[in-house]
Amino acid sequence: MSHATAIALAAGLCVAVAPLASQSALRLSAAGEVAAVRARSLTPAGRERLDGFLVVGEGTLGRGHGLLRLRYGQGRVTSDSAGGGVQPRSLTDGELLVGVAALPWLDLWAGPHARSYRTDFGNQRWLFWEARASARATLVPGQLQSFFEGRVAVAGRVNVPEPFGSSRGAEGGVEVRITRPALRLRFTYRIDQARLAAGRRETVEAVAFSVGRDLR
Amino acid sequence: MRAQLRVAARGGAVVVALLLTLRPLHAQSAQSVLAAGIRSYQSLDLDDAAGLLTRALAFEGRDALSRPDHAKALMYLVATELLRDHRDSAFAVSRRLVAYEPRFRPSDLDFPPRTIALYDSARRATPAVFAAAPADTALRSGEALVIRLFGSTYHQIQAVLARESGTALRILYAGPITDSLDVRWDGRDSSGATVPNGDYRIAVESRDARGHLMRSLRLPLTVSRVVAETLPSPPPPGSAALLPERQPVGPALRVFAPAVAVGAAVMLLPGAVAGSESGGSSKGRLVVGGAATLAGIYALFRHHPGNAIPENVVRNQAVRARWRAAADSVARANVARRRDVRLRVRSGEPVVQSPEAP
Repeated sequence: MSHATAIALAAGLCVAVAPLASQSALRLSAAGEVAAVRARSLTPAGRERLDGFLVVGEGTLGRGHGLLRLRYGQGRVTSDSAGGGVQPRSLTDGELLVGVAALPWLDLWAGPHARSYRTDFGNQRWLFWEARASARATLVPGQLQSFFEGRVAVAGRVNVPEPFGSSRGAEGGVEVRITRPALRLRFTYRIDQARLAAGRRETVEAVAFSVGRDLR
Repeated sequence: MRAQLRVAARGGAVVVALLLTLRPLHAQSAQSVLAAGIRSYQSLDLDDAAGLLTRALAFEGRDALSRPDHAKALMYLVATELLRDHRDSAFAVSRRLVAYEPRFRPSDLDFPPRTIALYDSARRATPAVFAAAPADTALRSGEALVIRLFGSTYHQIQAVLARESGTALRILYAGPITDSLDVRWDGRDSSGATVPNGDYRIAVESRDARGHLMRSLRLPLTVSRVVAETLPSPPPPGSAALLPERQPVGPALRVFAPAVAVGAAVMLLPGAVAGSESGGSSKGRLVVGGAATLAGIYALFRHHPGNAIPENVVRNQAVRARWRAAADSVARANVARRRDVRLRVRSGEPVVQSPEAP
């Protein structure tokens, strides 16, 4: 799928959301997240495994059925094998998604997701145009929810000689809402894997804990 | 030939028309003959009056005079015969009138004192009784059918309850009667048992001073039992009227299932997303998956599946108590209704059996 198709998908979602978002109250929430990250690379040269932390900030805007989500995270992953020759990487991850609340328990999202690895030798940037579906189930009304999100990249780009192959991922976990203070606590496991046509695979998984709050 | 048929048809039509109009004319003529007889009496055309009154009394069946008119015609005939100096005939007609209608009393305004005196002497010499009872009566236990007897004069009578076949069951009254007398029957025979369904009669015998039977009157009775219909018992409260008394399992499972599914999915995600490269995945996923599963278990038990719902139990107990009270009330009412057997007594027209009956 081309970039044009991905952009058209996101634009179509925006157009679909626009009338749904009108004449409704604006909702705004923000969250901060700390994630234990493990990045694994499978290249013809061999395997690499790096662990580290990522600190993420997230803001979500909603009006009616329309949704907009911005996430940005930065961290560092290092190899735990001493003297393995694996360079530590600075990891930056960000996304801007437009969504629609299709059902009370189902949101659909689309938009760009970017990730970069910076080492002493250079900078590797990935850009995925993703479509996502996020479902949630209320366990205890107003208190406890479980959620699951699946994602697939409909297009992608990476600044290496090999062409982009595919990318898919998922996340799931539980969310606890507390009233005093009014916070949302999320415990999440997420994993995604990007493949290049030549066979290289980049897998990133994270166990994340986030604290969020509805601002209005 | 055709002309003869036409004449015959015309003649037949005239005969049919006459037959159709004759019955009402005949029915009216009993009244008109009586009226003509009274007019003749008042204008002292006594022979005409005697003839017309005799003719009026001769009508039978549906065309006959009513009971009051019949008595009236007899009384005018008494007065006519007395004015014609036929005293014996007047006395015989008076006795006939007394036997026919013992309650009859002539008016001082309509008849001369001599006529009234003759009738009174005939009445005193003619012991007779008339019986009147309600046409249809339902007797509860302790109630009685009241038969009113009207006597022509003071004399001895005996009122007996008997089967239709004539078998006497109980003497209801034996003694004198003057003007009127109420005889009561409670639906029982001489042994105190309620009589079975069937046809009965009350026979009233009038006797003279020497004890000779002068007249017997039979009042037919038909006895049947009336049992009140029982009320239907209210149906017990159905499931629609009752609230669930225990927490249902369904809602608890509906929250448990997705949480467990998320927990399982999280644990299996590396294999699903990374395939053969899933080896060495973070063990943190087990913590997250376990947390999701534990959250589901917490939610499951928070719904308290199978636990009693006290407010629903109390409400259902009240609903069942109301139903039980209503059912008991109906049962009590039905017991009373089954006990409340009424004796329905229908009485017919009294029939005079003595040779002196008119």
